[in-house]
Amino acid sequence: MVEVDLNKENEEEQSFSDPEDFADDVSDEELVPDILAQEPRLADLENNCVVIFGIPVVGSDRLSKLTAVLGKVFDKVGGNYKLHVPQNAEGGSLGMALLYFDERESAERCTASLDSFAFDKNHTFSVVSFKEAKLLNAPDPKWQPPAKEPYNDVGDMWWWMQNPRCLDQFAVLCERHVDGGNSHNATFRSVLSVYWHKKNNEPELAGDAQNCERPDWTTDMFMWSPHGSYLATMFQQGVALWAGPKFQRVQKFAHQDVTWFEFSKAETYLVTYAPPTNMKTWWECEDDCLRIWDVRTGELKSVFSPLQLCGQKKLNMWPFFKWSSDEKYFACLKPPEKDKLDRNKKVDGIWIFETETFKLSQGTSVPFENIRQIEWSPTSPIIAYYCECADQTPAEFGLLEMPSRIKLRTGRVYNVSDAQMFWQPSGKRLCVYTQRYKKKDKTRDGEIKYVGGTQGHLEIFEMDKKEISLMNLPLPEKEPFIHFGWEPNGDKFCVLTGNQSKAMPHVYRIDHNTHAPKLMSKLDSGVQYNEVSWSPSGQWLAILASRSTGGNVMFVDTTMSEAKRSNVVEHPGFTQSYWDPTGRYFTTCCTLRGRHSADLGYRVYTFQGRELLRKNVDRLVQFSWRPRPPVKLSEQKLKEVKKNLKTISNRFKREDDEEKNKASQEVIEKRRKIMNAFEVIRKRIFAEINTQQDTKIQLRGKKALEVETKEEDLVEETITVALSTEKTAVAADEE
Amino acid sequence: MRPLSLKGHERALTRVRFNREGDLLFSAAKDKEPCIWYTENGERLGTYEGHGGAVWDIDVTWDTTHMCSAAADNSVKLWDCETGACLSTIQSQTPARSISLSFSGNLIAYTTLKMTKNQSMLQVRDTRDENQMSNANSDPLFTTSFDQESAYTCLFTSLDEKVTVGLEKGQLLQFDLRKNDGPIYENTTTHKTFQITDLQLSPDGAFILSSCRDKTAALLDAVSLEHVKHYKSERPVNSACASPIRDHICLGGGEDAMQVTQTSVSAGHFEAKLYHMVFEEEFARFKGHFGPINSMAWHPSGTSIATGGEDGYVRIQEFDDEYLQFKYDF
Repeated sequence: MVEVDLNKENEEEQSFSDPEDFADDVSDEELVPDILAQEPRLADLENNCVVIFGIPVVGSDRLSKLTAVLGKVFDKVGGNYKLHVPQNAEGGSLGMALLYFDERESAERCTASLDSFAFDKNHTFSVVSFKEAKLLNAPDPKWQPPAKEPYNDVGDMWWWMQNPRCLDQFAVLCERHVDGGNSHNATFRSVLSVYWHKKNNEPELAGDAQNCERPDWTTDMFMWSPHGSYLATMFQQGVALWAGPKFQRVQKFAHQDVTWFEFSKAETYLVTYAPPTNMKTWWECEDDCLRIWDVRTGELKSVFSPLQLCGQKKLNMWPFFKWSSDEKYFACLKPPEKDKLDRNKKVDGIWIFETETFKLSQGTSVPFENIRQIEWSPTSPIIAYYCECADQTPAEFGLLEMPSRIKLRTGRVYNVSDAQMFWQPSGKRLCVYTQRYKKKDKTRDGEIKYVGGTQGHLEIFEMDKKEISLMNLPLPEKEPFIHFGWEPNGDKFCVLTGNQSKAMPHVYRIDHNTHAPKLMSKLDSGVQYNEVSWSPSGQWLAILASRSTGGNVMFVDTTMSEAKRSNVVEHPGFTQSYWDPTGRYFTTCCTLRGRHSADLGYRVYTFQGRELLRKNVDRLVQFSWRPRPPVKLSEQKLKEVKKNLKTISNRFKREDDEEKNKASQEVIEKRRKIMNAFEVIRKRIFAEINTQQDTKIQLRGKKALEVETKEEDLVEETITVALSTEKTAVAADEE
Repeated sequence: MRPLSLKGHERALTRVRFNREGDLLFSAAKDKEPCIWYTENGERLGTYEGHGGAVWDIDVTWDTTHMCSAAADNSVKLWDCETGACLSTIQSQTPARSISLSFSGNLIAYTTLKMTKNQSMLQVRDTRDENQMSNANSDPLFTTSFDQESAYTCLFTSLDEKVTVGLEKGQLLQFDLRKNDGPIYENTTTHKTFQITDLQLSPDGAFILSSCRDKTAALLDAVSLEHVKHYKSERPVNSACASPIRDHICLGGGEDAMQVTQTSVSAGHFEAKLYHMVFEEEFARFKGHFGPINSMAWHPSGTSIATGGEDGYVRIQEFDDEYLQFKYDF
């Protein structure tokens, strides 16, 4: 009974179930937070899952093989993952795969490392996270492949090389008055013109005026491409290239507010730069301040930001990139970076990029401590570098070969305060100038002071010698180094040393037998020269004093065993000077950016320094010869020309004479016309004046009447008087 | 020694003139005393003493009897060429800047500068009239004044009737002495903005050569002031003259005296430059002065040129055979 009772009681009390309308006020989070935390969420799934497009499409028979190969690739990413390859109805792959990782980090690493991974020749992965994949839209059904751009034919790009008289072109940029007036505050418009240079004649426009002389052709400056094929001009929207006989536009490169641009060595690439728009914050700027373009296709190949390349927003020099001669590489200095282990040590080096991928060659920089300067060889992929000396380490200069990254030859020197590198244009030699001090002191202000004077040395690397020989040439003491120049294709060089009042050019020749350069001549000058400029064809050089007021240029002939001064000319205040690409002519010019009081304009001389043309151009901005491509005659042809030099030169001479006669005929014709027009005016005025004859007689009286009638006799008489006057004067002196 | 370099003035030259025969050379400078020289050997005959300030301009009558001068001491003087005696003095309100004698030698035209309230004036007086020549308040033969600008140069252009004036801002005006109601011809287009520095008549009387600080000189029709030819130089032109025997003209000038110290001699362009009158082409130049040339005159024989420079020297440059045989092909 009791039990029954108990059961009864139990039955009643055991009814714990909530009433039907009971609502529980304790949430699952409070009850089982640990379990809920493990609950899979959609976001996690989406974040941990990546979609890989671009895997090969295979049939069902090869699916397992594909999965195995894919697995090998994905294993490298690391982390646990599940691979799912969706299949079509036949059991083949669809060309995409899903990867599910355990951790989000692995998924992200996978996206970063496998995107644009080349699986094989035909398949490149494109990887996105599942979350992003959800956002992808279906392709527009109306989408069509872009139409082919018709080839923009501007004519022969090397038409100017085929001038029957082998004339060279040059371009001149100047500012002209808009109204042609002469008032003080006139506005100016820039005009760019391309001319043929004709010896002994006025320059002639290289075609129709509408094609070759255009106002507002550029906003700031222009540039010929290194081989002369293109004329590059600047606009606010970017850079445009012009070519062909009519200077039609070949290509444009959009870059708003471009300030600088530069071609690679063989004009395959163009680098443009526009400063960042936001200069307020130093840590952020556009990624594409520097753009590299393919000149022929107009394609944007790569972009860089100054922040990424030099750690600051302003580029500290231009051209920024140094291009190798074969255009396979371009390099720049890497900004110093703090070493991970040693806080005080800074790591710097060279960044060498490949043009195949526009990425760092071998993925890393080439480390060089205290690197200051790099310079590519003009003919081979070799970099010459100079590392400054630090307190403990000597300065180092040497040659680095690419792509092997082998140091071919190095030199180490202590106590170097300054160095400069000069490659011979033929790539045969490299000269490194070093300035060495005896003792270094720091003044109280922290300035470095060199005690005991400094001495200059030239180190010459000879590339064609076995193991690259290195020779040293100490420069005279107490004569500071000013400038250095290689003969482009020969064995000579000129070094300029001296002080402010007087600079002394020394011409040396490198003899193959002896180990030291031989001094050919020391030219006495007495003028403050500051630059050496060799003719592109060698043998002749110009030594310039572009900073002195006199503006002297000394032409030197080195064809003989002794270098001789051929002529000295003066162009007061000249700012720039250029050899023409053939080395036949030399130009000095005085541009707007120079001194203000000087006469602006350009002058052309022969390579011996005889003035051919003097052209004053008000507000001249820029002058530039059109370069020639490095196309050389074959050896055979050269021999042939050398053999028949006499007959060929006679032919040229005859042609020159004909041209001269023709030109003078034209001039005479023109002058005759002008003279005839003038005579008409003169006759008209004389007719009017002659009516005054009577008045004249009246005014001067009888004497005048006699003068007018017997004019000739009287004039003669007066001359006799003049002579007799002198005689008496001498007599008076003697007394 | 050729060329002759005459040192007789202590300050910058303002004017050199030959007499009609060319045996005598007259020069004026900022040092108060005009000089007279023998052209042939450069011997100085004498000086004209009396002015109290810089002598800006002089002119000689056709028969070399009288010489007149305009000076910064606010006076115009008439001199006896032979004795050097001052015959009469006309006081002006402001410095007299330029002077010109008429064909007959009886009329003097001169201009005065604008100063404070006094306007720049052109006056013509008759040397035969005692009253006009001595009494500053007496009515001149002709007078006119310029509102805003100073007249820097004047020239009797046609006998005794017309005078051409060059102003500060490049205008050229021609007056007829018989009509006192403003200029009969005006030329404001040939030169603009810059001061006219000199006006000279071509020896045949048909053209006027105007030189201007705008770095150019121009050839104008003497009858109508119409622009005929233009000659461009690299520096301000202070004087220009025409050859009596050939269609050549010569320009002189150079970098401003103020800026000379900042430039080298070769950059100053102190050379005299020879141009062909008709083709407007420069074909030769000769050096000599180490300051700008302020005035120049062609010898009546056409074989030499006298130049007066800021450097205080007068140079008589005789032409070489090369020049005399030089011919333009046309």
